[in-house]
Amino acid sequence: MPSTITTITNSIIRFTSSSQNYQQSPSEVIANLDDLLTEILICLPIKSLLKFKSVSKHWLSLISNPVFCRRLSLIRKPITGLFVDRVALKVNNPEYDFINLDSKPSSPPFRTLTFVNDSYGIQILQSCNGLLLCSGGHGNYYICNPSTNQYRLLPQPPVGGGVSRSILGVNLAFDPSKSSYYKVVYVGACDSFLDGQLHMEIYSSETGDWRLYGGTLPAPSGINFNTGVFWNGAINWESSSETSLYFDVDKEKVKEMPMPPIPDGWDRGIYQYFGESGGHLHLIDFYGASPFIVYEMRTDYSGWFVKYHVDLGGVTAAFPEMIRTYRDPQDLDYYEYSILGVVREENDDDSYMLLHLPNKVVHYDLKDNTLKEVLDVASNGSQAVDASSLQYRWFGAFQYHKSLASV
Amino acid sequence: MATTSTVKLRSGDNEVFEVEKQVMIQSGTIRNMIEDDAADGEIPLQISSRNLAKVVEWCKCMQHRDRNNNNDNKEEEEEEEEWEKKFDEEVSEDKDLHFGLLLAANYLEIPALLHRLCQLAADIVKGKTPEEIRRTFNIKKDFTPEEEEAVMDEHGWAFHD
Repeated sequence: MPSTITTITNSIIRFTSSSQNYQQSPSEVIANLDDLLTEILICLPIKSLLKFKSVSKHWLSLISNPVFCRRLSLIRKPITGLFVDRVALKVNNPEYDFINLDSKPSSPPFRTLTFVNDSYGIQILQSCNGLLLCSGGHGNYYICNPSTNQYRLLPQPPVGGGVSRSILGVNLAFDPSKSSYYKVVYVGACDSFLDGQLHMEIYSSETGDWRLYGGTLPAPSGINFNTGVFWNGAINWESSSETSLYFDVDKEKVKEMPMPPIPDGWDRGIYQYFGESGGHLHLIDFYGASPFIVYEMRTDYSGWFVKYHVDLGGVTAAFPEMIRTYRDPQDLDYYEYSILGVVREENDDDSYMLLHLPNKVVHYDLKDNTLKEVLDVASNGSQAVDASSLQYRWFGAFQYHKSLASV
Repeated sequence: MATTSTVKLRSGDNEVFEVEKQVMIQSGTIRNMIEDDAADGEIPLQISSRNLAKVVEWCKCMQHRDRNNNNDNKEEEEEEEEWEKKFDEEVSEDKDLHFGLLLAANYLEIPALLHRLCQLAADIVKGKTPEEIRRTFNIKKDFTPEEEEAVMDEHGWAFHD
C-alpha cells in the first residue's frame, strides 16, 4: 500500500512501488538515479567518459552536461604529460614528442596535429587548462582539445583601419572552473605603435567574435607577448625590464606587474622559464648556469617571492656530460640543460622540476633534490641532429591536462 | 534529548539491528532522525538485512578507526587496512551487493561509503565497452545507427588503445 512507504525516499519508492509489480534490479535503479550515476561517472577517466557517451541518450546528456564538466574540472587531477616541440628539427610541420608524467604509461596522443590539412602544419602556441591554442598557415588560429580530438577554427582577427599585421602575441585564457567559455587575446602593432600604443583584440567563444579592446595598451620595451601565461584569471607577460603587464580577462583591464629586481651589473632581467602549475605562477632567473632562483608571484601581484633556490651541483655530478668543459664556469651556458617545467603537486613536498639534459629528461625533486630519469630522448626515436644539443625548450613545452572542455 | 544510546534499524526483510547511535550518526538520514527525536522506535528501512549488516559493519569499522586515529597502534591499523581491502574485494566481486550498498549509502546519506563504492564502481566499469555497460545497467540502446555513428565519430580515437 502506498501509505506504508511514504517515509521512504524517492529512490526506494522507485525500487519497490512499481505499479506493474515489477521489481527493478539495483543496477537499473542506479542507472535511473541521475545523482548517483553522476557520482560514479565523476570518478571515471576522461577516455572512459568519451567512450560512454555512446551508451545511451541519457548517458550522453549526463556526460555532456556543462555542470558535470565544470564539476569534473574542479577535481584536481595531476598533469598527464608534456607535448614538447622538437625545436631544432624543422620550422614547418612541427613534430611533438610526448613526455608522460602520469603514473601509468601512456602512448602519445599525437606526434603532429593533423585535424586540418594545413601545408604549414599546425603549431601549438599555448596550453591552457586542457585546451591548446594553435596556429596554422594563412593567419589561422585554432583551439583544440587533444583529449576529445575536437577543434575549432577561430575567425581571423580583424585587421585594417590602421592596424598592421604585425603580431606580437596571441594568448588563450580558459578557466573551466569558472566558465565553459574561453577568450583569446591578440596583441599586435598598429599605426599608432610609434606613439607607444599597441592594438589588442579579444575573441570570446561565447559570442564567437572578436572585439577591439577598449582601453589603451602601452608598449613598454622588453615585454614578451608571445609567451603569455594564463594564471589568476589573467594573461601574464614576462619582461626583461623592471615592470611588465598582465591582462585581467574578466574585467578586461591591462595592469602593471612588477618583475624581480635586476642584479647589479646586469642591464636587463634574464629568465630561463616562465609558466604556471597548480595555480602558481613561476619565473626562473638565469644569471649563471647554477644556482638559480625559482620565483613565485603573489596572487595580489604585489611581487615575486623566492620559492626555491636550486643548485644543480648534484645533477652535474650524476650527469657530467652536461658540463661544457670547454666553457668558463662563469658562462651562462657552462651547463647544458633547459628547464621544461615546474610542476606543483597537491602536496607541495611532491613538487618537481623537469630538466632537459643532453639526450634525456629528468624529474628533479624540489624538496630533496633527488633525480629520476623520465625520458630517454635517444630511445624515443627523436635523436637530435647533433647528439650534444638540446631538443626541447620551455617555450616549446606544453602541458597536457585531460579535459572534456568543448572547443 | 535522546534517552538511549542505541538505535534499532529494521531491514526490509524484518530483521532488527540494534546499533550504537555513535556509530550510526555517520548516516545523515539517521542523524537527522536522532536529532529530531524520531529514532526511539524501530526505524524501518527498505534495505535487505544482508546489505544493512554490511553497512553497519562498515560504519563500525570507520568509527573505530576514527576513534583510534590518535593512537599509534600499528597492529590495529594493519587490521583495519586488511578489513577495508577485504571489503573492497567482496564488493567488487558481487554486483548485487555492490549496487545494493550503493543505494543504501545513498539513501542513508553516508558520504564516505558512497564515495568509496562509486570509486570501486568506476574502477570496474572504466574498461568496459558501451555494450557491456548497457548489459551491466540493463540499459536499452536508444540511438539510431546514424546517431550512434555520429557520437562515436566525434571521439573515434577513444575506442582504440
